[in-house]
Amino acid sequence: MKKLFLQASLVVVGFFVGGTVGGYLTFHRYARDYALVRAFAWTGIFNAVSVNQYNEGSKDAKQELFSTLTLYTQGVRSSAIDPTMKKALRMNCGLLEARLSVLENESGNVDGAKSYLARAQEDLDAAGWVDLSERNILQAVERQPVSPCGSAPRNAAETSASPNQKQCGLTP
Amino acid sequence: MKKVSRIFALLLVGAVLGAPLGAYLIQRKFIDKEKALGMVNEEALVDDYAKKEFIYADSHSAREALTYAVEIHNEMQGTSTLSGWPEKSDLGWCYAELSLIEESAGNPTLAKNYMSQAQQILKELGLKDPSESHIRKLVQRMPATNQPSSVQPR
Repeated sequence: MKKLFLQASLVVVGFFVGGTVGGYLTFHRYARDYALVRAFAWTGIFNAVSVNQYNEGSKDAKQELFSTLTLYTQGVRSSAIDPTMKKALRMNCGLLEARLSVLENESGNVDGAKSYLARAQEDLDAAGWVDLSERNILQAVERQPVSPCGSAPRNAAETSASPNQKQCGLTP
Repeated sequence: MKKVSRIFALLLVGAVLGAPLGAYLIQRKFIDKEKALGMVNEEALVDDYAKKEFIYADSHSAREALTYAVEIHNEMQGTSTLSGWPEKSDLGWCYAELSLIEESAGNPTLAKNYMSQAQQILKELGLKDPSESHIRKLVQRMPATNQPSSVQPR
């Protein structure tokens, strides 16, 4: 009886070890082959959270926006990313910098605000934006009321011009 | 020696049985979900980029961004598990915006082609009035100071 119990225990231990190894190897292969997809999953979450906090005027917004900006900046520097996608990331960097500029301005750090705005103008210029005036950029990152659907709200310009708003699953 | 071999054999039997289950659980509970999220986020990022470029950037950059968004949307329709009607609707509007850009660039054939693709997609998705004039009305460009005169809304 005791022998049988020990044998069963050995099989169970082996089962858990095998399960852990199998899981790890599967994850390792996925992480190696889909690094870019993983990066998009997490930057998307970071971006949604930080922009939401910015719109809500949360005190953590600055830190969250800065973390998201760091992730996007890494993407812009990565050699694995398509040049057009890099432009998309760079435009997002510009918008994040513009938001950080607004927050610095609100906290009284005028020099910091100016520095972020200058970086935003540089990034948006690289993305092909025509009007790089402070007014136009700040209008693009105007705070929006938080969407009742839970998704990150779209900015003012897009709300006024984009036909494909997905508010609570409705189309025009 | 025989005892050690037996212990090893029992552990191996357990491991052989456990490995596929571990791989399956990681795949199903984590990888599939993260992959789907990554794909849908990539699609959303590219679409948002294209839409903003249409509003704020020069025609060349807007065309490049919208063409890229169309490419990604089409690619994701077949591969992304979370890609559904909202993404298809985004694709339709990308075609509509591309049509306006091509029209202002003096490419009427291409513009017409894009517009008909937009109409077809939006009709499939149940847009009440998929006529060209209605789509044009919805895809009006923001009256911002940065719009080149050639692509101003009519």
